[in-house]
Amino acid sequence: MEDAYLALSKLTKTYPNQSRSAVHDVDIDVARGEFISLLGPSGCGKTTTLRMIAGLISPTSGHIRVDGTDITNRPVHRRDMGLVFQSYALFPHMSVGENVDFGLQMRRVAKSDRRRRVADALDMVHLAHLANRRVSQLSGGQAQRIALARALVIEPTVLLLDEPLSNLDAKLREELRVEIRRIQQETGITTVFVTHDQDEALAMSDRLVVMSEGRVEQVGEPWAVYETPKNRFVADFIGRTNMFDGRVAGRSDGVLRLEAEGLGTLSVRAQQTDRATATVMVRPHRVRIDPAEQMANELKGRVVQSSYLGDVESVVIDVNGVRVLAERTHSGRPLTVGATVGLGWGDADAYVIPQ
Amino acid sequence: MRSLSEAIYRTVAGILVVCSYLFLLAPLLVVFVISFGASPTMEFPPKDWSLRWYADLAGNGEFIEGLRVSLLLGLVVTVVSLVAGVTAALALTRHRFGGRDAVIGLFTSPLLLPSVVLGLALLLVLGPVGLVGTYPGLVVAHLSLTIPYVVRTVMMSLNAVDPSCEQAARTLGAGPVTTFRRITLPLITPGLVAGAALSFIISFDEAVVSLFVVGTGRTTLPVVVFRYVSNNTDPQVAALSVVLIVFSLAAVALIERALGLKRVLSKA
Repeated sequence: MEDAYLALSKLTKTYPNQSRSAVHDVDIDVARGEFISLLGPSGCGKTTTLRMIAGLISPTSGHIRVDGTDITNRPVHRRDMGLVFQSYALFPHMSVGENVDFGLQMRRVAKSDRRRRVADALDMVHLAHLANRRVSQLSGGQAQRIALARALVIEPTVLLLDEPLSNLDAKLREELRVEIRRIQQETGITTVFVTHDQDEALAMSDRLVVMSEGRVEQVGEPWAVYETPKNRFVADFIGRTNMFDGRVAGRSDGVLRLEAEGLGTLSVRAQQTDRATATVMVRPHRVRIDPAEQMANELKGRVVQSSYLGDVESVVIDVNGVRVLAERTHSGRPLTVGATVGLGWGDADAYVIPQ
Repeated sequence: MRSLSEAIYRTVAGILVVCSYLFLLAPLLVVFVISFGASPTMEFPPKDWSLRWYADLAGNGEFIEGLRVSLLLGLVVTVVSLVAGVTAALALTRHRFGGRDAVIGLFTSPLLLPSVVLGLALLLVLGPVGLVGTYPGLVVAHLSLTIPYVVRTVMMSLNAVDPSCEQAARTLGAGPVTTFRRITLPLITPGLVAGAALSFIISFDEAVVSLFVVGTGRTTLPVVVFRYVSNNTDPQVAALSVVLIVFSLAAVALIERALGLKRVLSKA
C-alpha cells in the first residue's frame, strides 16, 4: 500500500534458544484511521507484533514506519503510541484523574490545558464523575475505559489494544466493544487491536489479519476473510465450517464437479482450478435441512447430534460416514437423533479453498 | 447468649495469650525495674529506688561514643544496603540472565551461616587489607548481613507490581528513570521501609560479627555493652537497655504511623 500510515515490513522476532521465530517476515500496512485486528490462536505472534509496534520488544529484523518515518529503533517513550493492556495496568497509587494526566505531564503540557484535556478524555468514556476515585475502587469495565482514556489523551499516532476485553464478562465485553469502535471512529485514530476472539475481530475491524505460528495467513475485510478464506487454517479458525476433500471430476460454466469420499459428486462454483484435488468449504448455516426446492448438492443422512440454542439449532448429520455440520433457524421442535433427513446446498453456497 | 464451652474457650485462650506475653516480656520488665534500683549490683527486686544509673549513663563517654558509632554505622549501612539491594532486586526481578536463580538463592536463603564463622571469615579478609577497626570495615561487615534482607523485601514488593504498569508509563512518554521514580518506587515503598528498618536494626544490634572486626579501635554500642558487663555488675546497662527500648518503640510507632496513614489515605 502506497499510502500506508503504519507499515510493518519483514518484521521478524527470533528468541535465542528457540528454533521457530515468534514472528516471521510480517508485512502489514495500516491506512490512516483504519481499525485493524490481529487475530489468531495463542502463540501465533500477534501480541509480540503489537509489542514490537509499541517498542516494548525490539525486532530481530525488519522495519516499522509511521507516516513514512522509520521508528524501528526509537525508544518506547518517544513513540507517541497509546497502549491499552489486558490487565488495565492503571497506576494503583494514583487517582483516576492522575492516571489520565500522567502522559500529559510527561509531555510538559501546561497545567490549565492538562485539566481540560483530562476532563475531555474522561467525558469521552462517560466517566467524568470518577476523576477523584482511587483505581482500586473501579470495576473492570470502568478500569478499562479509564485505561483507554489514558492512552487517548496524549493524542497518540496509533492506538494499540492488547486483548483489552479478555478480562471482562461477556455482556460487558459486547458493550465495550461497541464503545471502543465508536470512540475510534469519532477520533479517527489508527488502531491495531489484538484478540483471539473472532467475534470481536469480525464485529469491530475494518480489516483482519489472521496469524498463525508467527506468520500472516490472510489479510482482508472481515466478510471476505469469512467467506473466502485463503487456506484451511483460516477457514477452520474463523467460524465453524465443513471441509470436504475431493478429486476434480470435471468442470463446466464455472461449476466444478468433485468426487468426495462418501458424499458422491459435489458441485461448487469456482474460479479456475487446474489441480487434481480440491477442498470445498460449506458453512453450516448454508446447509439446508429437508430443502423444499431443488438444490445443486443433495444428500441424505442420519441426525447424530442436535443442540437446540433457541435462535438456531446446531445439527450434526452423518452422511455415509462423513459428518456434516448444519444449522437450522426458525427450527421449532428440534430434530430427533437417529432421524433420516435430506440436506442440500447450492453450488454458490460452497467455496473452493485455494490452498 | 454465649454458650458455656465458648466462655471456657475464651478464658483458656486469654490465659494462654497472657502467659505467652509474660514469657516474652518478663525479662524486659525485670531489666526495666532493675534500672531504677539504687543498689550497685543488679538486684531484683530492688530495695531502694534511684535514677542514678541514668545519670551515670549520660556521663559514660564509652557508651555515648559507642552509641554515636552505632547510629552512624546503622545509617550508612541502611543507605548503602538500600541502594545495593534495590539495584540487585530490580535486576533479579526484571531481567533474565545466566546464574540468576543461583543469585536469588544466595540472596533469599536465610543466613544459615553462624555469625561466629562469618565474623572470623571477615576478620581474615579485612585484616590484611587494613580495614579492621575502621568505619569502612564495619560497614562492609554489616552489609554482608543486611543486603540479603533488603533484596528479599524489595523483591517481594517488586513481584507484586504489575510490569505492565511500568510498560504503560513508558508508552505514555516516561523514560526509564522517570518510570522508576514515578511508578516503581512509590509502589515498592512498603518493601523499602521494611528493608530499611531491618537493615538498621540488624546493624545496630549486631554484636558477634562486630566483635571480630572492631579490633582495638572504634567500637559499636553492642560491643561496648558486651565488654562492660564482662567487667562491671552495676545496673547502668539496664538503664541503657530501657533507653534503647524506648527509642525502638518510638521508631516502630513512627513507621507504623507513616505506612498506616498512607494505607488509610489510599482507601479514602
